[in-house]
Amino acid sequence: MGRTRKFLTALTVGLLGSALLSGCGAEDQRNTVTMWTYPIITDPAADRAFWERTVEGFRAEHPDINVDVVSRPWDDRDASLTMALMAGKGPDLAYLIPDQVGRYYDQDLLSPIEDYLPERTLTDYRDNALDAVTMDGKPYVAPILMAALAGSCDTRVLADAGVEPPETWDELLAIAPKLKRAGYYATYYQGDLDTSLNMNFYQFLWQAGGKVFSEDGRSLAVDSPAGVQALRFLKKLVDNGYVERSALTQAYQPDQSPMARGEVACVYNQAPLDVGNAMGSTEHIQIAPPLTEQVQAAYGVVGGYGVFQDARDPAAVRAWLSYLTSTEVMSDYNRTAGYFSPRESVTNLYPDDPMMSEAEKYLDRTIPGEPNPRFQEVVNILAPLVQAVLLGQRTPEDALAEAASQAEPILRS
Amino acid sequence: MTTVDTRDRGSRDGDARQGNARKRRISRGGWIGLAFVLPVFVLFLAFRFGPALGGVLLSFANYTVGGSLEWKGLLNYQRLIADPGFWNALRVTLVYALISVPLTIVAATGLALLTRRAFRGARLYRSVFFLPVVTSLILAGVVFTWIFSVDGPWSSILESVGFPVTNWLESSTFALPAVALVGVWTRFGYGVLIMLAKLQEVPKELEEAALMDGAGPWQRFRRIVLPELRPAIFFLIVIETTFSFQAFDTIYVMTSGGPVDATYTLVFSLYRESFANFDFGYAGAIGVVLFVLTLIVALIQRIVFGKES
Amino acid sequence: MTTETFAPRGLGKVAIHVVAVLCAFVTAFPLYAMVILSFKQQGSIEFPASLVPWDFSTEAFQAIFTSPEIWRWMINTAIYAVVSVVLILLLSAMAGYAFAKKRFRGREVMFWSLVSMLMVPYHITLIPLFILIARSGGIDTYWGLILPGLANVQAIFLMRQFIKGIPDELLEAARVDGCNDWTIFWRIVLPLCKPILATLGIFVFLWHWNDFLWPLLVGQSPEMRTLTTGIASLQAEQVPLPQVFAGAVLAFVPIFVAYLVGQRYVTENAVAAGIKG
Repeated sequence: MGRTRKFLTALTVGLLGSALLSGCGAEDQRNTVTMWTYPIITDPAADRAFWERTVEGFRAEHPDINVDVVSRPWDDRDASLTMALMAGKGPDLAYLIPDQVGRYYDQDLLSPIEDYLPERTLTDYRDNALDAVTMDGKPYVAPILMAALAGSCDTRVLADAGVEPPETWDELLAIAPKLKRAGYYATYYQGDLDTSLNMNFYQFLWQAGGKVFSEDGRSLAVDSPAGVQALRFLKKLVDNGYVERSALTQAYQPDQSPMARGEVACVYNQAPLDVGNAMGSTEHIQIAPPLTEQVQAAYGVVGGYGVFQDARDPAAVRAWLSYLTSTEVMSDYNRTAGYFSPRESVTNLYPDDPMMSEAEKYLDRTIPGEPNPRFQEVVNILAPLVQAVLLGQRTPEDALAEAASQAEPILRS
Repeated sequence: MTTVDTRDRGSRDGDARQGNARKRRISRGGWIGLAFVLPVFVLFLAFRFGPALGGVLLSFANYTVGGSLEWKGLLNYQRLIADPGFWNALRVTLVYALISVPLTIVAATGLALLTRRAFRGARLYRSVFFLPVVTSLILAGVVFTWIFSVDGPWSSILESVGFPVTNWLESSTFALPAVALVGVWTRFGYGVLIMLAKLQEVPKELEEAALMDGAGPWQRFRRIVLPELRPAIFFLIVIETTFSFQAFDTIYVMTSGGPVDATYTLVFSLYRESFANFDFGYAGAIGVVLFVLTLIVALIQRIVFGKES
Repeated sequence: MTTETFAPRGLGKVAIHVVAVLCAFVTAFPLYAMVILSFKQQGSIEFPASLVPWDFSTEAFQAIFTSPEIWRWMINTAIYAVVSVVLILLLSAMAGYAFAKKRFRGREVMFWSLVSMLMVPYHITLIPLFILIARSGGIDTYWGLILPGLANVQAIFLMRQFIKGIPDELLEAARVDGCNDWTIFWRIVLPLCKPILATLGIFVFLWHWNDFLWPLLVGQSPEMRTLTTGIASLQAEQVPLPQVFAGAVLAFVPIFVAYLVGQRYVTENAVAAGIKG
């Protein structure tokens, strides 16, 4: 592929400049691991406390290694992380999700995670968690958390309309008229352009048996019968008033959650815990299985730590990452953050919480995204087209064909 | 972009001198002259010429943040052609120029004519008109963000003439005219100076003669002043068009390319593709398009100037 | 005398004054507003009530001066502008002298390659330039900020044009007196270049003081921002308006002073120097 050729020698009159650009003194970074993390644990005090006790626990086993956990803001996280890596001031490892993995892999920044984890941890991961961070056959992120966007239904709404939680598209369509007559929306579709397609269209595409990308990631697979079927189903929900039409264009307002307003039967675009937070309590939430058409599928993020190629002390990183993904730390982390563990041996994290225990059952049904270097570009193309279909401005076939043709040169490059 | 007299008189002087002495001089002056030029020329090759060449080469390749380079032929250009975002950026760039350049030149001409005569305060007015040119574009952007806000002066003016009160910077129709107007504010003072310099060359006798013949102000302007101003106007068109293609700072502060890409210019997309998406090869292709646009303007200048003289 | 023929009289004179005052007012209004509003209290900005030049409050200035960052930004901007001015003037005067008065192999090729780059938009060089500087460890450093801007073609060109006008006889006489090239340059050429150095100095200062895109890329950490990138970040962080304007005033004052002091040089040579190189 000729990927090894370095730019400096190829493109610039580097020789001329090199005399002037004498290297800056690289300080000794051995035995120190720098890691960037984000406010996943939303309470700053709890976040700080978690990392303090974790680093402390690690230092008890490895007193010779320093760990510097840097808490970064979510805003502009890709630009600032990539910029720092480019300038040689980046961390050794950072929190990444499947949507980002393809890009960082494609930019030659990530190291395969196999080199940094013990075998027993690698084999213990759920297949879907590892698949979602795998590029060209190798995983590039050590997963540490998982979510499952199973259905969250409002028991009062269900009772009022006299319906049961649906399991399939057909069942949803069957109960929707009853709900509508009782003054409720059957479900909720957040379709504005700032919402990730993972949370809306992709879930239905997967349920219809479709995929966003082709097997080699070099073309769009969304222009398929499954894609058309998913769009037609969603269009049916919109046209019949089974979902709130204004949510197709208006940004989500956390304080205006549709579930908190008590207007919706079941939602599939939010983790149950977040639904509970919005409603003020989990009292009236009933977990429903992810919907099925061809496949039973829900979105659920996988998050973890990717190690960068410029990691200064690989042995120290390996020690730290092994500790971080150990069963003890992983259960502590997920209990603190309200997520589930991607390791199969770490289950039943919430024995006292029936809602969370119920949601945990569907972890294997989640698809944590399809990693691709052009993930974001494809979202940018697809999201407005999907929106246009649901608003009745384009036909499903036409919109998906347009998306495929627009994405084609991008995916090839 | 300046038209430049590069004829070299120095080399002709030497011809008369005697062969031997001349040779010795050249060889002595040879390395001394080089020594005077070399520091800046090395910097030039490393930071201007090299990167310009690199920018063109980059458009045929894909360069990763990790540091590897892969040749991609014309793929980046194929992406450009297929990308509606690129066509939008090109359109926005051209519309911005179409709004800001004529307004800048009309304002510059008008104000130069207004203040050309020596009257009390004329110099002061000229100084005020040039003040925005030396003001940072970021300051301009910050102040005009307030001016265009719903509580700001612009909305009040609109309201008083019966326009609906909206923040122009948040309107996909008016955001582009708004940033283009700010562009006019930051540039017209330069045009005033150019026009004033040119107006000094207008033969007074001609104007006086026309005055005697009873020609009104408009006729004098049309028939005597305007033909004299033509080269200056044309010079300004070229300079200001080139400038407008590169508008970035004000847009960065005022709209960030929004709303919904309404002010997403080519330079802005180059910035985003390279330093937000790190898609260096694709950004390089946008840079080449910008280069070609500049060349087209220069070429038109050549053709028209060629005709004029 | 002939100017008097066209000097405005009577009603026309009044009209010209009225229009000129109006235009000057519109031009100066944004800057006036910036200064006045920087002296207002947070949350009290209204149009047009806030534009009266009384009810002063230094609250906004106090607020931004308590953050150490603004001082860093001012120092960074000053270093960027002043060091650039000194080095650019020296380097371009040297090159201008050689291009104008010395003959050496490759002179024409070098000069034309310099001039041809005036045609090439800055932005096409931006990405390779950034990659070069980032890879060499220049992010968040002063040299990464300053070095790439030192080869200023516009300045070299203007210096060459000016030095060409210095009579050869003067330099020959100095050579007869035993001066070498460096002393000729330093004792004869440079002093004669004072007017053009002043013009260029002011313009180079303005360009660098007001520069935005390159400082935005090189200054990634908050401590390495300049005033322009710092003010843009204040605006993005939704800092109260009077504070943003107070920062803007701080950035504007040196520019204003430089403009007042050097107005003669600026306006007389704007044709050549008003184009950013």
